[in-house]
Amino acid sequence: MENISNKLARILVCLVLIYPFPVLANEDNNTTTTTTTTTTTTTIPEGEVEEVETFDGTTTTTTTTTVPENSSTTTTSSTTTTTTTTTIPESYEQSTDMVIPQDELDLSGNEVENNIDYNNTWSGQYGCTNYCINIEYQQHGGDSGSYEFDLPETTTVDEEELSIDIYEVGFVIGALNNEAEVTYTHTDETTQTNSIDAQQYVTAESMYEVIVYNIRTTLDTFIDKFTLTLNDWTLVDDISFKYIQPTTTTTTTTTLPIFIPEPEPEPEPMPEPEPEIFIVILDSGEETELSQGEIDDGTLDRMNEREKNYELYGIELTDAQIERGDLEQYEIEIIEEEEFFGEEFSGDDTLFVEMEDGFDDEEYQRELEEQMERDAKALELEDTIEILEFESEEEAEEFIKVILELEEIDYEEEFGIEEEFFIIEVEFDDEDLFIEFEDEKEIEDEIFEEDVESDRDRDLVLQESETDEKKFQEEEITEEVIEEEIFIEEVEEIITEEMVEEEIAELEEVIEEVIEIEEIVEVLDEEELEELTEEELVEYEEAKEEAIEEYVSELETDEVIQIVTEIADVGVENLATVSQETIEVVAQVVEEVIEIASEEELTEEQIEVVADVLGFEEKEDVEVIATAVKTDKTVAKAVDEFVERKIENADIEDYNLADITTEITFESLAEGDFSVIINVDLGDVNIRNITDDLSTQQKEKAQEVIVPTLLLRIASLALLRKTV
Amino acid sequence: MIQKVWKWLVEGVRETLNLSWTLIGLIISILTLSGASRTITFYATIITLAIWLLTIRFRK
Repeated sequence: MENISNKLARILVCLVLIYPFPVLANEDNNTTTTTTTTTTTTTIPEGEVEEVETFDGTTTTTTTTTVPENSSTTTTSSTTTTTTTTTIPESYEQSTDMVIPQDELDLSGNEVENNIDYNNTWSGQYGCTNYCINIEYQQHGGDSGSYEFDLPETTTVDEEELSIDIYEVGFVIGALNNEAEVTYTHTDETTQTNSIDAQQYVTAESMYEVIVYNIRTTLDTFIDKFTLTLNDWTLVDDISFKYIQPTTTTTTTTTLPIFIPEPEPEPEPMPEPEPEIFIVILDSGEETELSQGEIDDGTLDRMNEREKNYELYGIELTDAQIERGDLEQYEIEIIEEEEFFGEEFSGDDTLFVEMEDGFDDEEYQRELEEQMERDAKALELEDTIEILEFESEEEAEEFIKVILELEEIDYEEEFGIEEEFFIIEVEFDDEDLFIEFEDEKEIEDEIFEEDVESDRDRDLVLQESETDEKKFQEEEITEEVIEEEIFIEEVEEIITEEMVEEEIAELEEVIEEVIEIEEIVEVLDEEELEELTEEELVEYEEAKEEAIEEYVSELETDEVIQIVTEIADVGVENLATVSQETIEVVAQVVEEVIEIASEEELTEEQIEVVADVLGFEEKEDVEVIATAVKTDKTVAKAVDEFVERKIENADIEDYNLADITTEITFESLAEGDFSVIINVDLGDVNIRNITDDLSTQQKEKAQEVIVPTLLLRIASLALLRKTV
Repeated sequence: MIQKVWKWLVEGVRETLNLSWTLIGLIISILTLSGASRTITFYATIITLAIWLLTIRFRK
């Protein structure tokens, strides 16, 4: 009996274990789940081309072609993807003719406002792959900015420029903390504005959204451009646009034979060979890697055009983009040929004849430019070349061309040598030519030609001459460099002061927007303050401080971050000129943001701003200090007094929170308050996390002190033993 | 006994003076640190100094 019950018990246990409890748990839920599979059939139009602007110089073009199968009425769509893979460039590189936003430049080529940046810092995060565009760069909140992306209007097919009609635009947008807007402008001037929701941070890798706008089947117009309006540091990458590949107007007449044999089945297409990469020297002398296809499709020309126009206008645009008037967006006027090349060449008869030779405009302009450079150089060299003799005019031209090419090379960048003075030996027609190139600023250019029988004698002559000239030139250069450095320092100082003043005004504006100090506390002027007794003055200060503290503590996180962002822009040490009330507000806001950091989870960008204000290099230090404020009253006091002390010690380099903590500890000990050392709970401390409550700055400072101390002690012991 | 204690006191003062540069370094590091690490460094310095002074004769 016992045996049977034992067996039954075992079987029962087995059944219990086998029974699917999770399923049972789910069965409690009476909701019926119906899975519906929806199949959406999207017809890809024939000849659809998709271009993607990756900012990495990588061209991804997808072309859809429709291939008819024999005489049957059915057609099969096949998609051909052409991907040209290039090495990721050292800086961002456009792969399409789209006009992308650039920072506005002043006359000296400096950025008026640094709110656009192209970098690969966030590759793999926020939807960014390698290089991407940073809009509202390092801006958080505040006024919105508009950023326009002008789509290309033409494409080149078989060396023929044909217009395209874009019906779909897409892009990846990431790190968008605040809601944004995107306005699509159609070719018929109508617009469509859509809002883009703010993104929630879960992980940096997932914080992005793909936006697609397609009007192919809904509207009888096409997309001309789109504009992003936002007020938060945002990343945009992989801007794609689709259009139907336009066809050339070539007409082919074919005489059909009477008998049409059965077409042989098409052989399996061979895999496309890897494109051969060529090293190409650009007009600027820089080297770049391009495939034959890129050279043929005009990429090389466009690169040269962009470089040339960057030198001319400070903006990388192709000639086609300039011709269609894109410069107007940057409020730059087109420089006329005469203005750029000099009026003396404008009516040249030779050029007029060349124009009639059937050159196209771009090619002609390039030829013209090179020719004029050669002419100018030849004129310049006529005065300096005294002994050179050439067998033919072609050789002379070749020589000048070589000189021009050599001058275009940036020796300092390419070879790490200074360009001011050096000798290059050029072998030419069995004669050794010694040509001395000097900096443009130098007064004289000399070319030495020696036809001396003894090489040794020639070298000696050159060396002596070189040494004397070098000494003289080095002295002159040194003086010039010193003068230039002083001038640059003065200019930089003026610019910095002006920028700080602007930033302070901006900060005060933001504070006024968020906090109306006069509403929360009665601000007395100097005369009224003088009339107060000492006690009244103390009472007034305390009341003011309390009122500000109470008001700031009630501010929303976004408002606090907005002020902190402005403080970061100004720099705490530059606040000496602002009013006392503003300083108190700033101090209170800094204290508040640390409290917020200890209670809420701030975004990476917000933490970065707080770290910037507190002078931390590591973002993790914000969290460390936010925790330490709660447990260590010295750190709490240091944060409280951070702004005031930082302003007082603005002239001390790298004065930071760690210094203030040290000062406060010393002051407390000097007052006999040993509680700052002793009253610390050691219950949760173990040897592994002993330094967890120290910021990087504190760790560095402690190392700077302890290591020399120990070294000194070891050295003194060693010395003592030796003496004994 | 008093004489022994007096001698030890004199020796202790001398040893402490010998350690003055080290002690200054440690005091500065205590000021530089914060939180638990500061307290631990403080106690470690005091305890080590006490042991150092108590073991003068033993070390000799």
